[in-house]
Amino acid sequence: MSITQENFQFIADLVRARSAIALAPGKEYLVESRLSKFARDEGVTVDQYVTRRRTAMSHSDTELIVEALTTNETSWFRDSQPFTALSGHILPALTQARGTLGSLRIWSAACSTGQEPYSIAMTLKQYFAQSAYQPQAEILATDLSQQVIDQAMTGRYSQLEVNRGLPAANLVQYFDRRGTEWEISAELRAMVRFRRHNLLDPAPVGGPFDVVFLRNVLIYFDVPTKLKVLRTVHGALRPGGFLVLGAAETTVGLDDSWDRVTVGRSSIYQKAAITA
Amino acid sequence: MTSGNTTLDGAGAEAGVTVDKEQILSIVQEVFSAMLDAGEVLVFESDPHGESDNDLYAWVDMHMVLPMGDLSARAVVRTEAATANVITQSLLMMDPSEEVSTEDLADAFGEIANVVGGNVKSLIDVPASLSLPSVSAVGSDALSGTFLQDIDLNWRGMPLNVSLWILTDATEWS
Amino acid sequence: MKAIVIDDSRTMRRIISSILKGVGYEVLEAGDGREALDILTENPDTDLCCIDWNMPVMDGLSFVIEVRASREWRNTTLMMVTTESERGQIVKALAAGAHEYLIKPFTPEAILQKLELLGLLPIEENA
Repeated sequence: MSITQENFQFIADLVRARSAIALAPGKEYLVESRLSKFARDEGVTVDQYVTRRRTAMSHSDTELIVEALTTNETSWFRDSQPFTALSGHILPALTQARGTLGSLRIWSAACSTGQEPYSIAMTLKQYFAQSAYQPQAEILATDLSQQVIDQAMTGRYSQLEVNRGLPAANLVQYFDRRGTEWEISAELRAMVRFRRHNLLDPAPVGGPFDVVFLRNVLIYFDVPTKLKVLRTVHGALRPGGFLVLGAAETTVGLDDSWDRVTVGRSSIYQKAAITA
Repeated sequence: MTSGNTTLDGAGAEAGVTVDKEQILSIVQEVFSAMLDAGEVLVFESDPHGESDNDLYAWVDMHMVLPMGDLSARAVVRTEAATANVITQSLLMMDPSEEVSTEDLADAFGEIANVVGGNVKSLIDVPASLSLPSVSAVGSDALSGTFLQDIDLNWRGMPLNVSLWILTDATEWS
Repeated sequence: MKAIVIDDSRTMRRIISSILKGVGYEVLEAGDGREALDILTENPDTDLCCIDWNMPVMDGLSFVIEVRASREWRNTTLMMVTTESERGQIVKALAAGAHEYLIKPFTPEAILQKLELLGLLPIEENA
């Protein structure tokens, strides 16, 4: 059953309000295909799923729908703010608290096909390029899916993928062309270790971490699970370490062991420097 | 640094030039997915299907400057006229009931050949110029020179074929 | 905000214009670099040019060089939009002064993401 124009427009307006993406008429099949998994979970058609949402839409529904319709493949420097916050606020804050950063450990906890950890690596490279010293920086990148981990480990991306959010200057500096694809340079690869990991399990080996990126994954969990994962992450962070969530995600109302860090519109939280 | 360089084979073998089917598939998938299918991949390799009575051909030529001499190649996209119409209407944001003019077809279907051919040219990675695209219903206008490679594809259930040809013999190298 | 879309393909101009208009741009079109320079001269407040490489009369690279040689247009952002995707070509364009580079084929999201990178996305921030 196809989605009605009204329902399509409702979704298009929602997505447009929350992202830069405009779904023009003609893209109904995209809405149908991307929302089909949610509709299936409720045992209804996509059209019925949307009709239901029009009467009662929760914040998490909105997040899930927008996420489903705005991600095809992950993009580089997604949402940009977390990365500018990394170099603009987090790294300076860590340096100020600890003096020279001898080592730096970052965990990208839902790394998917690797764009996030490699974007972090590029940010670090550029940040420390001007520096008198280079800390020993290690990025642990984990995901539940072995398939995406395997993909990420190849360090290879299609032309469409490198078009998404990656500054052209970074493309030529950090990638080599391989046929129709582009491959991350050896220098950047050396900074990232990929591992399969389930967020419901204890924290992976490689901590304690200075920064954890946990973006756009909590939205898929129920509240008890969100709390559990946040506790795991809290335990894996050094005191004074930072948690970076997805845009519009928050720990507020869930877990008060974090201090909200005001950096633009980013969702960044800090573990208390001295635990009570 | 020429790692990942691909070369055209067969007739251009002395020049050491090859493009394999996988690479053409990859290019066509990217072009159609990005320009027509909102990111979904709806192009797949299919069983061989011959030419039909209603085919349209769109092509671009690339003139390459190789160390040993110059070489011209052609990338041809062949599909049924009805499919070319669908492509045109989609790219030009026309209503399905609107009539597609020859000019519209030449423009939109030609642009598909331009982007596919342009990507093949980039794959070969030698200095080369790209011609403006041409569109014709006459196969012999398009399919000229020495056959190099092709692949039969299926897009949303409609047949599609992309072929590569060497237009001139490689000039005598000394 | 104002943009000039420069491409010898009517189809490609249509696609890009449509995406830019969809996010609030006023869009002008040119079929080659020479035509684009004329339009730019009349519209010095242009924020963005999306430029194809391979065009008759004056190609995209030559256009970039001309624009960057002039103080008149130093606030105009120049983004190449082209099938030329050899690394050397991208380096050449950036060295000539292009601010960004988008490889064809591209999705609408990709071009908007580039605009976001450049701070040229005229969208209201979410509260």
